[in-house]
Amino acid sequence: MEKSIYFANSSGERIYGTFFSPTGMEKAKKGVLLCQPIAEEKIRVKRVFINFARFLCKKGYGVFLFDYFGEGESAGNFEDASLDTRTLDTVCALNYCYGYGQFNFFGIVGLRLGGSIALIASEEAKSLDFVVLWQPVINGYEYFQEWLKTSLAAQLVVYKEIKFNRKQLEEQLQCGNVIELEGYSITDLLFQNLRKLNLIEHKVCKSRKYLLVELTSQGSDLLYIKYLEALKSNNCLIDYLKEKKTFDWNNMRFYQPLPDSLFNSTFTWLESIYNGRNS
Amino acid sequence: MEEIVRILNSGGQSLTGVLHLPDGGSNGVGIIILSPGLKDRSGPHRLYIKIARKICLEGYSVLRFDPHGVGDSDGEFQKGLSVYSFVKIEKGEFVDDTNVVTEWFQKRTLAKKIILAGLCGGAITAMLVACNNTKIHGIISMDTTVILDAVDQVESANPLETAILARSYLKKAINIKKLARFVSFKTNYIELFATLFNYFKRSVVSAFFRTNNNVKSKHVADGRPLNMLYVNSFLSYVDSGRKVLFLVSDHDKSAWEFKHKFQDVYCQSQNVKGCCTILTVDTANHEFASLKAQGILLDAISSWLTKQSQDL
Repeated sequence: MEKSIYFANSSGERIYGTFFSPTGMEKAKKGVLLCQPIAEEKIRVKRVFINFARFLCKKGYGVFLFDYFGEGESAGNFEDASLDTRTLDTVCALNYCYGYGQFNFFGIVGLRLGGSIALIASEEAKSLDFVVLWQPVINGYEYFQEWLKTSLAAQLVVYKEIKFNRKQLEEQLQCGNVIELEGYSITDLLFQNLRKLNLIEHKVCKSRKYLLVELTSQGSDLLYIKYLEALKSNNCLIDYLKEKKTFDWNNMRFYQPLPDSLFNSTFTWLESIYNGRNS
Repeated sequence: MEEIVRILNSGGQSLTGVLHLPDGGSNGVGIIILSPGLKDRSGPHRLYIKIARKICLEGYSVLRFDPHGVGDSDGEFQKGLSVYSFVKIEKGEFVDDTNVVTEWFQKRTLAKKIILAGLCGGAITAMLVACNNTKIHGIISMDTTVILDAVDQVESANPLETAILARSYLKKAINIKKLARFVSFKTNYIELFATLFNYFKRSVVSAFFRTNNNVKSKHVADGRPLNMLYVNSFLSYVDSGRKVLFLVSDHDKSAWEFKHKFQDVYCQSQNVKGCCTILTVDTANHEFASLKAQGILLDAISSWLTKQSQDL
């Protein structure tokens, strides 16, 4: 059963979300909160999240999928949201889930920046059992630099030349101007948040289980190896999986709404954690 | 007020939508915004939400919904090149869903006039629906594509794209770093030579046609077939005297085809001209991404709707 609702975040703003409850199990014991990427990446992978929610639901999990303030069906404008507001929204969504279900096994799964947000929000949540990071953004500044490239491409289409390079765009932001990336208004608030984001420096809970999934069509990203080493040296209970990248958050040239292998491997890991804990 | 709604289509699939109802009551005109393709009811960069929230404040009831296989709705499109799904949409994949939703929307809002709006695939669906559905009083068409997509032509470059790419390659020819890349086998030679070949071929061909004042077949746009289902639906629609607002991005690749192969050919008679308002939006790409373009787009929609609602 799927039930869409609105709930209020910590600022009283309306947040949109959908509960996926397993048939005949109004109160599932196992639950997952899904954290989506932001901006156009979110729109491109929306169907992957819907299908993952339905997949887990069929396996007996209660799933909650929500839109951050300024995204999707939630209230507000994109430019009024930051990484901080998204983290707070995630904490609110977690609390909403606790109130909605009677979970004895609960965690978060996030993709790209949604993975990073999931990790940061999990610091605030004491009763989480697991955090799954699908291709998380480790370094916010590098992520933003990649995003800025879309502005250069857009300038080439509209003006036939690059009027503002990446450095100049950054300067515009720092001067308080708004820049446009893929149709979204970007402010210095988000930029500064992303600039500070470095997952390697973030704390992790040592009693919680983590899964890092790298989605790649080539070799491993050195940044992930470094991140993994940092977590392991910190005695973090983390597993690592490398999955073939079968869907794309950068464009929709190829459509893959059902990455079965990713769904199955994540589910298998979740079940192993659940069974290990209960044995 | 925004309300989440679920509507069953004729196949029993649940379609999810959001209904925007004006706080002070509706002015009697309702707008249904149609999914652009595989992206959901919020549209690219939430364009549909921006439109819906703005015009709802002006008194219009608005519905955005996901057709089957898209967003939160039931159903699934198969994995593969997205163009396969686009071809289905161009041939009317979402027509039945839209008719069912229109029926539901009229009953729910009691709208006296219903207008369909959509970007790209949504604009196509709007025309295919409206030609046979007399409940539709108007269409807001954003960057409609008049060419039928074909899988074997996905990689074939559009004239505008070719020109931009070719010019960028020619500029790189005088850049030492780029030349070093070229001689060290790091360049994508296939893309490079294909682009330059297309560019020079088009330059020569277009010069030839200009000098000979020749016209290619009106049913073929630069080697790609016009979507005659769309064209015939349009002719049937305007024949009934109903209105359409065409919003065309000046930097969209489909703008060239729209202008030369559709507007110049099918929109010239007085009757048709009387039904069509065609507005080119400055600094806009296919998704109206620039902030300036979004502003122009929203204002144009708002003022066109005001004119339509005055006829009530």
